[in-house]
Amino acid sequence: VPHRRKATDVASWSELVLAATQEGVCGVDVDGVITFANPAAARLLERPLEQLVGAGLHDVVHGAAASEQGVPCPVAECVRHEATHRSEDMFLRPDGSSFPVDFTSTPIVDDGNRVGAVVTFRDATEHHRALEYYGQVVRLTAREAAQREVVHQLQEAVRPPIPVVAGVDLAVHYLPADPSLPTGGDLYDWQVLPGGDLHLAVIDVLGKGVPATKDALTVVHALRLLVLEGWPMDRLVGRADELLRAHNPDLVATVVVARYSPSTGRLLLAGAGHPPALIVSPEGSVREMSAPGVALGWPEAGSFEVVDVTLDRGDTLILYTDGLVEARRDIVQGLSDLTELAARTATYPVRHLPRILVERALAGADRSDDTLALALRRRVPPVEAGQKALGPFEHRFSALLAAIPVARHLFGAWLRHQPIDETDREDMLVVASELCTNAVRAASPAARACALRAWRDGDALVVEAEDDGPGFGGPASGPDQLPEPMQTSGRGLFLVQSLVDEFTVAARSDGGGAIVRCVKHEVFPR
Amino acid sequence: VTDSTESFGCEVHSEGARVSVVLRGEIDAYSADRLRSGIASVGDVGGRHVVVDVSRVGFVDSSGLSALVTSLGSLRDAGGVVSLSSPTRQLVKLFEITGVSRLFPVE
Repeated sequence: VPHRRKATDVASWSELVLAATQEGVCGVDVDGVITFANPAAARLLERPLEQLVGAGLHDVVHGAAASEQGVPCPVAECVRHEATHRSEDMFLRPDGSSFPVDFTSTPIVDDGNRVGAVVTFRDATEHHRALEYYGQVVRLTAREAAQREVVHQLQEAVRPPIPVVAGVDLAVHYLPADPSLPTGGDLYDWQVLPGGDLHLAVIDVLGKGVPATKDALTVVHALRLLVLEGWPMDRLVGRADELLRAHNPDLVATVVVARYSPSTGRLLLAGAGHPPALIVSPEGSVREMSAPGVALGWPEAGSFEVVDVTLDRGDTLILYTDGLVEARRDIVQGLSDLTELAARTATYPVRHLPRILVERALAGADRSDDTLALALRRRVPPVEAGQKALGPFEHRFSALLAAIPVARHLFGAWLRHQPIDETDREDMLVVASELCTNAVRAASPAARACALRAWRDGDALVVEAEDDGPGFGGPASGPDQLPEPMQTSGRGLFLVQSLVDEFTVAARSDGGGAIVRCVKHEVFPR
Repeated sequence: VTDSTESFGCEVHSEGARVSVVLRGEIDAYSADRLRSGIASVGDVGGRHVVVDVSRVGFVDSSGLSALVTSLGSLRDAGGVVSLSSPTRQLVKLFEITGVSRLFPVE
């Protein structure tokens, strides 16, 4: 049974409260002498209560030596403050150790005169520890972010931008062995040479991480320089080895170099210890193109012969590093899987092909190597016109979901009578469906508020949809921003931009709507 | 009207530990709701193998793909072991280009 006390017994109440509190509480007189102290104060300061009362507070918590220095301190000053004063401080224990405190003093005023102060303090060790930890985390995060930024910039610096060359689709995908170090020993180069030819190189340096990137960059620059100096393909790798050996005696790298002429489709390949390049026809037949040679850094480094082939319309050259075929530890099986995969994806948009090859080759694999895939496709119009092209297509429809399949079927029927590839038909049917869906979602409920149109423009197929609404909806993420796999919408724009060469949104000339237009080149015979 | 443009349909056969869902026709913004309600009618799939036969799905666009992903995802969330059976070349291509194949493997 709790013992009840009367509320009027003020002194006893104060005593109880003070005894129970976790904070140290001391009363000091105008001279700073402790007049009372609670048990928590005694516990925190590790002194018996009797020793505290009658002693100078400052002498107790800061030591007698410190008081002689005359340095103003919150404890010494506490009896002079006119209002509550808060500060942080360090208090001494009798053994000489000290601990951080949060310290508050409040003047005691009696009859208008300051007669002393109440001082409360608590051990701030945990608080300080948390702050310190927080500070460390902040510093670490900042340092990591800075490191990531450096690596990112390095990565950008070593990756040349995609050259825009008429008649060529190019793309690359690189997956480092260590995702936290996004550069490694695999590197590529693509440069348009003064004569209009394209120089390509894929390099796989022995080693990992940033030092390997440095070596790979050295090889890239040596090859680029030699190519610009006009060295013949069969001497490129051997000469690069001669140049690099003096300064980089430990550098070992396999290399494949390609020279491609966009106007003729002629392709020269020279290699050195690198796995075979693949040439994939649109029908899905795959040729392994071995460009044999001895890797850089080995005795007699250089290419044995130069492969000389011509890419036909729609043919895709695939260059890669051995990570793509060695992921499952069996290079023969790996190459066979890659060949099968390349055949199956022969008509995929080049923009996404290297990523898909890398994703597929590495699916479920126990991977420890950098992996790089690069694809080049010859884009030229078909040669013969087996069929005459039909005139332009136009279909007007209302903003109803049911109108979408109807518009698509009509467009599909028109497409079937065009002298174009099946892949282009299939892709443009998807594009038309996306454009119609967008128009239906954007348009007003008015009858025939939407239109789907298509026509031939030279070798290009143009498809456009018109609505009387404000424009193309959805996030403008662009074709390189892969949607999240579980995303519930918003893949339309991504898909359209993946399948066509040009995508534009324009206001209707009367300002009362939008026209979304897609163009795919090299579809019709010239 | 050819096979590839037949209207959408969804049939569900439930046999013990196995649920078979047969989709056919075109999946786009127009048929997406029927796909969703068809899949929602499958019922309790916890611990069961749900085989979604898509061999007769003639056409899929991004709206259809999103409806398919949402529906398959809900079956998986309900504890079903979901697999796609005999996808057409067009569907595989769509899955791979959009990266959906990372979540729902197709081959």
